[in-house]
Amino acid sequence: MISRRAFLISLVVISFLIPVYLGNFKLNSSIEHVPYENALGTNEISKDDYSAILSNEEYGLGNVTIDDLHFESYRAGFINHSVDYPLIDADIASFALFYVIESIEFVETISPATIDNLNNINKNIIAIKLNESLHVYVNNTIAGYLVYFSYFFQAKLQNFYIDNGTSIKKLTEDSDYFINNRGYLVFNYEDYFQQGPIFNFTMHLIWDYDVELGDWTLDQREETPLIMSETEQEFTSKFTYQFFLVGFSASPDLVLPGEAIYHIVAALTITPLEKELLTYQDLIINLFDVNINNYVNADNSLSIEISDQFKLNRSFISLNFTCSFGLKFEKPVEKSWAIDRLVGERNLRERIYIISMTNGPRYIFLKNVALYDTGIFVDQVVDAYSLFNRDVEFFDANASVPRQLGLKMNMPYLIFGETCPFSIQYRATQTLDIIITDTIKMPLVGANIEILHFGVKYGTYVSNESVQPINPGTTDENGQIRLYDVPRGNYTVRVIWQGKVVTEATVTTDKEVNYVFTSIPHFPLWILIFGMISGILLVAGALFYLKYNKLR
Amino acid sequence: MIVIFCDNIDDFITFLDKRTMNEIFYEFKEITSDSLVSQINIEIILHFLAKVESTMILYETKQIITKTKNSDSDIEVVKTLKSLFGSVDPSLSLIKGKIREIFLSFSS
Repeated sequence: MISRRAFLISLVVISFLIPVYLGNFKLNSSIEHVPYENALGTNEISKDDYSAILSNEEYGLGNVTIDDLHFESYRAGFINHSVDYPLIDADIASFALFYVIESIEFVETISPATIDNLNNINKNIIAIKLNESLHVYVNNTIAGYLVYFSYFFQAKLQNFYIDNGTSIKKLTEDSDYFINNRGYLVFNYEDYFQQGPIFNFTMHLIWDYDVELGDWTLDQREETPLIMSETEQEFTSKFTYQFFLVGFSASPDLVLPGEAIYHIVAALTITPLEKELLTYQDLIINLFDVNINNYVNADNSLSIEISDQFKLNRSFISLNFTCSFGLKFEKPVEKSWAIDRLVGERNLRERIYIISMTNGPRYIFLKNVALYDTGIFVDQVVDAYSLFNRDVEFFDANASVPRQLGLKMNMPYLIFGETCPFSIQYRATQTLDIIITDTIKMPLVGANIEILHFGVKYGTYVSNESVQPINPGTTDENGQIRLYDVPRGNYTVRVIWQGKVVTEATVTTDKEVNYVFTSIPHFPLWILIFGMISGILLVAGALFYLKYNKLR
Repeated sequence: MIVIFCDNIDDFITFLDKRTMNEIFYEFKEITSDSLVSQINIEIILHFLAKVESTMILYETKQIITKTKNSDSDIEVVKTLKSLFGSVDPSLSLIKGKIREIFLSFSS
């Protein structure tokens, strides 16, 4: 038999244990709460980690070279009559000196036009070598010299050969001939030949001459805007590569260029950089759309033939092609941004996006790629900039896409191998208002709260690698937690009760108030339940006492 | 075809007696075009044609004039040149035209 004392003690102990047990079993959670850490982790991003490959917004255009020239007719150059050489007109006018142009021939291309943006080569001139042959007849001249310059503007005489009919001899500058201060070739043939009054010879003048590529450009042309909507994305972009070819004739004063040369046809080879990565679409030569397959070589360079009538008078090429690029946001918290941090005052925040180009041509940068961020409104933006000082443009997203909230940004241009962080500085003006309730939807007072943004603790510094979280504290007598000056968006609220996470729910700044319901029992109900149990036990005890007291 | 460029306009005038026609052609060429500068330099290029046996000779010279923008001083220069050539030979006339390139294209 259990003694009465033991029985009563047991009742008292049970009346303590049952509430303790019942008070906990409803909080059926195994998640242990990890308290806030105060360690700052803001040094994960450093400007020194990133460097620009391109210093200017310039494309690499490759090489253009002249393979051949066809002269539809020849133009001789000019004779100079001056105070220094006053008798030459008399020789020509008396027919004592007469010359005729025999030929002008293309010898070779000395150096092609080249634009290489990675190696800072920007040369839009094709330097070529021409051989001009003049046959000269001398018959009792007075002056005995020739003062001559070629038809080609700013041509430079490299070599001078004389063919006297039996042999060809190379002349030496300054001893056999010289270039005067105006730029004319002065050749005293009487002194050179030292022979009778009547003779003839052929001059072979080897000129270096520059042919220019005008408006040599590459333009990115999109019919529809490129939108970066994923963390990692591939793009195919359209480009137009174009130039015109021009060579100028000289004017006799040798100072200003004369007309563009319209009687010389050029054959060209166009070799874009990393041409194997380009997919050619179409080719226009002098406004005529041609079949591009007839122009593409096995190595993906392009050849323009003599038959294309590509003259040195601004003949025009336009080549359309596509190529592919891969972009990726580094360390994204959401799909795009990597860091969102407080940088000043109470609500001046900065959102940093770390964009990389993971594949694509090394000489062609990609621009005009847009990004939507629903977390920032255009009127909140204070500034926008990129680490490499490249343009970051921003607009109201609604202006591009109806009913689209947030910000549209045109990201800075990028070339393969570059990572260019850019940021938007903005004022966070949203309020996150949350009310936590218990099982009967009454305010839960004193619950600890944690706020997460895209799975990361929200605070003055938010990133995947480190956070400086803010502690929203505990719910007040209304079960309420209110966070001011947060970025717009969805958050996860984590409710911690007696050291354990009891619930997680998604809340948003778009709602005036977010209600989060928990399974924590309402405290006055427990008082009622245990009051009744205690009453029942007391009554039962009293009945036992009376019964056994009478038996005694 | 031979082109002889005369440094000096006096020589050019001297050679006029070799001309095959009475027309002297001129053209203007602006050689400074800085929009911030109020004065501009203009070249006036003069040509006439001569012939030696079957070979045509084009004589050419130039004068540089400085004028303020929007002024009519180039017209004044043409008037002065007309009177100058008129004093040499009243039958000479000054005609605006780019004769050199036209002549080169026909004669080559």
